[in-house]
Amino acid sequence: MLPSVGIRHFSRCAVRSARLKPLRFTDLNKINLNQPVVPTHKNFDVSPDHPLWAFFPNGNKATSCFRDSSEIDTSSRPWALPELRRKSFEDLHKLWYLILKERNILAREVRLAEAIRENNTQAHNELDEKLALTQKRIKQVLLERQVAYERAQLMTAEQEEYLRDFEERYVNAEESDIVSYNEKLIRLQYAFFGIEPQLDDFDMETDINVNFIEGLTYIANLKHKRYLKLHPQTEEVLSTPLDGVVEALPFLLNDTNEAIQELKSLRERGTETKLDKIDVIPFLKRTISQVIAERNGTEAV
Amino acid sequence: MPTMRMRAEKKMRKHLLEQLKSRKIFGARIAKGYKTPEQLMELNLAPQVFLFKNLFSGQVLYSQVPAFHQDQIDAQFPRPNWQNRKPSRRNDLWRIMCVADFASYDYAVAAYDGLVQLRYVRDVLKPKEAMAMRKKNEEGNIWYSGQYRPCFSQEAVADLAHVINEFELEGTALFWENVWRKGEDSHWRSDLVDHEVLPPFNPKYQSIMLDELREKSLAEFGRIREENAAQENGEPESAQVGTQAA
Repeated sequence: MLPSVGIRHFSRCAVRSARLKPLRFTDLNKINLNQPVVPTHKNFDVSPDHPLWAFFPNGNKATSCFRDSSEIDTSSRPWALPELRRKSFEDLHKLWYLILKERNILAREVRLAEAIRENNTQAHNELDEKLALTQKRIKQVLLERQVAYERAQLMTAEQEEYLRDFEERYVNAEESDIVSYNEKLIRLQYAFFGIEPQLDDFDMETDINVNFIEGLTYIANLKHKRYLKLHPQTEEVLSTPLDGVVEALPFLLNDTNEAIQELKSLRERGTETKLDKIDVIPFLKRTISQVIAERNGTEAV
Repeated sequence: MPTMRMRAEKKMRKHLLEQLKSRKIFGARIAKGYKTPEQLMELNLAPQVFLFKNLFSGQVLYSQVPAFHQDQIDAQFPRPNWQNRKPSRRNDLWRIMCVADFASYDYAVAAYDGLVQLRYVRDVLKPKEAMAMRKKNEEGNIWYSGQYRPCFSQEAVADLAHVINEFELEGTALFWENVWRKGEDSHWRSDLVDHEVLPPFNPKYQSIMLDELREKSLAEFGRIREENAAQENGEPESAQVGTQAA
């Protein structure tokens, strides 16, 4: 048994001195040539999550690199436009990439078939056409949505009318309806002004903008007016309309009653709450991040 | 009116042109000429044999040094024909396939000689036998895709195994560019050969990688020689280990 130190290390001098085999061929004409050594993939392992497995129909469980036309799905149909219109953006996104992967597999198989002169790729091409049609329809649906969104942006007069109408309905709403109105308001503030329903979802860099300020003012005024409507006997301090984001922000962050208390204390202190235009967005960012941090901190405790 | 030239002038021009032609270098200077074990040692080269594969045609070039020369191409492709053309010297087409690291300079030179001789046997002495073992296409020619014929590199691997087994070159280490190429383990005697993989390298810096490999092999060879000398002098094993660690 050889020691594990290594064969090279082991008694080379002894072997050299006792060599029986000469270091050259004695007669070239008597040499028996070896068969060519065919390379084999058994010499290395392929990672089961190698990204190129995505080009095979069953991933790393694939047993062959080419599917016959009998193995190709011929009975299916492309997705219809009405079906796709019902799907959310996330669903369409997932569907797009599933189709893309499937088309990649098919394209690889067709290319392989060209290389090995296997001409029976009719089924592959037909399936690929169906998938391509679905992709076109996904694009169509997204285009429709984009067009609808852009048109909605242009309908400012209608938007203003709707907002006025909603304000009136909200202020005059019955106590029993106010819960559903509040939910509606949350959807409205997201749809019209891009204000996220959850504070944590705010992206401080992009979400705090002019649109946000407009929405904030609208919501705060709405709630303030409703409060005045419900409590006609309010003090003089509270009854004047809101002025600026400093007074409006509590209505977005807190309950109406708490916001009213805050407003009251602000006005009683008599501090100047009107901000310069350039200070408005930094103030909002600072305050909202403080509030988020406080809430997360208290939740964590 | 044509300019007049003196006879001496004409002679001088001819002489200068010949000078220019003779100065032209066809490949790496270090790879020019055959190297004996002593020359390899003098040149500070390691006991290695380098197998370069041609990316265009799949042919393989053997070299004693980490470079190649036109003379080697001329010597190793003695009977070019339309299926086995004489490959070009373009250095972007020759990529390292395997570096064989031997236990001594005698072994390295013997292996190189053996490989070149086996190539000669395949091409000149027994071309029909060699052809019978190659994979053919339906027209009876060597199987190819474009200009690429995989049989040539497979033959080179078979010859390498043949040489190592025939001469019993123990303590050989083969550094493969891709272990895929070494084929089934049954072709190799495990008591003679260790299979390893070349370090990952950028083809642009192939020569640098080969040079590093040469230095490493040289250092290893020196270390083993010292150990052997120490063993022959009868020093105890523990003392050696101590000196190494120090």
